[in-house]
Amino acid sequence: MIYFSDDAILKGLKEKRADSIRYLYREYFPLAKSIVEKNSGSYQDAEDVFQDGIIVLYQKILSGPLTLNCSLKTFFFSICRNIWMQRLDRKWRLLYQDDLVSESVEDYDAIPIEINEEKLEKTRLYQLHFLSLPADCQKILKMFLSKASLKEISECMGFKDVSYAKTRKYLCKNMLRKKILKDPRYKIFLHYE
Amino acid sequence: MSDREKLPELIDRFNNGKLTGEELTAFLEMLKTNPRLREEVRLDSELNEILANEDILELRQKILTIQKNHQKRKGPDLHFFLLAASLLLLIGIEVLLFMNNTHRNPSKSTTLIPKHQPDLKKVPDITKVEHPVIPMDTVNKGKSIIDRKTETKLAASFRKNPSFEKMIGSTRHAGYFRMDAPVIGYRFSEKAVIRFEWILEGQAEIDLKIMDNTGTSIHETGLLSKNKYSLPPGTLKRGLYYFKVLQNDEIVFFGKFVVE
Repeated sequence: MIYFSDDAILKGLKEKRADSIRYLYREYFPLAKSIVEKNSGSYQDAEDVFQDGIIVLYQKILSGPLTLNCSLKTFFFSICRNIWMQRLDRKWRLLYQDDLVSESVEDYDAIPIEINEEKLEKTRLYQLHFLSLPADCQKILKMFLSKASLKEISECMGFKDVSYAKTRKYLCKNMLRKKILKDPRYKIFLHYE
Repeated sequence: MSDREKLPELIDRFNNGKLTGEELTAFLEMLKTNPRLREEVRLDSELNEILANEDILELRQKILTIQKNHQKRKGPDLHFFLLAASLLLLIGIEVLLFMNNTHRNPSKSTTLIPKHQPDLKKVPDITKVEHPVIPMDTVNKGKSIIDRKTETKLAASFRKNPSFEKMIGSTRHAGYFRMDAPVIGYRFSEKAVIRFEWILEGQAEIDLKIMDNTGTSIHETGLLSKNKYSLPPGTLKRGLYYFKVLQNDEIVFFGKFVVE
C-alpha cells in the first residue's frame, strides 16, 4: 500500500487528484464514520460529513498556505467533528426550541475551524441534484452560470436558434429546482413553512 | 408566455440585476407579500452561486465516484454467494434423492428403524443369509442385494412393521435358548414347509406365535415340548411374517421370515 505524507495529501487534494482522494477516503473515512456513528448518526450521515470535510479542507488549502500544529489526520478529525456536531445542533434546534438546547456549538471546537455547516449541507444538496441532471442540461446550466450568452450556448449545443437555447435553459433550471424542492432534506431550509 | 412560465425568467433576471423599471417595482411588491416567491428567489440565487463554483463541483464528483466504487466493492462477497449456491445445490440434490428413494420404496417414508439391540450376538447376520428380506434399512444400508422389482413387491403385505423390527432377535431369557431355523428374514417358497427349530435348555416348553406384518395373530402353536415345529405348505399366504417364542409368557426370541 502506498503511503501518502500529509504534504503529499494536501498537494494531491489541491490538484483534485483521484489517487489522493482515494487515499483520503481509505484512511480518513473511518474517522468520520466513528465520529458520526458514535453520535447518533448513520453511515450515510458519515459519508456526507466526509464529503463536506474534504470540501472544507480543499477550501482551506485554496485560501492560503495551510499551517498545521497537528497531524493532518487530527485536523481532519476536528473538521468532521465540528461539522457533525454543528449539524446535530442545528437539527436539535429545529426539533426543539432553542432555549431547550443548553450546549453551544463552541463546546465542540477543540481546534477552532471556521465552518458554515448549513452552507456545506446546501452546497452538497444542490450539487448532488445538479449531478443527477441529464448531461446536456448540466452543460447548458454550466455555460449559463459561467455567463455565456444564449447565442454561445446555442452554437455550442447545436441548437437551431437562440430562443430554443433560452427555453432549454429554463427547462433545465426548472428540473433542478423541482428536484431540490422535492428533497425532504431541503425542507429544513425552507423559511415559509 | 403565462405568468407561471414567466416567473422563472423574472427570478433569473432579478437575481442577475437585469430587472428594471415597472417590472422591478411590481416584482418587489410581489416579494413583500409572497413568502414562496422569496424562497424561490433565494434558492435561485444560491444555485447560481454554488453551481458557478466548478472547482468544488468537480471535486464533489470525484469524491462521489470513489464512494460509489467503494460501496460496490463492499457489496455482497462473491465467495459468500458461491458458498450459498453450493449449499443450496447440495440441499436440492439431497431432497431429490430422498424423494426419489421414498417414491421407489414407500416403506422408507414411514419407517425409521433404530439399530438392532446390542445383544444380537446369537442372531445370525441377516446380510449373510442366502435370501435376506430386509432391503434397505439402517442396519444393512448399502449392502442390500435386493433388486428394484423385489423392493416394489415388498409394499403392502411385505411392508416392515417398525415396532416388530425393533424387537427382532431380542432375548431376555435367563437360561440358554438358540433359534436355529428359520434364520431372520429367511424366504420360504409358498409351496415349502415352514420349519422352526431351536435349542432350549433342559426340558422347558415354549409357545410359538406367528403374526403378519400388521401385527394380526395368524397362528399359535400352544405349548411345544419338542425342539421343532412345521407348518404345512400353503398355510401362510405370501407376505412378511413375524414370530415370537415365549417361555412362561416371556419372549425369548423374536424373528421374521418371508413367504413368497
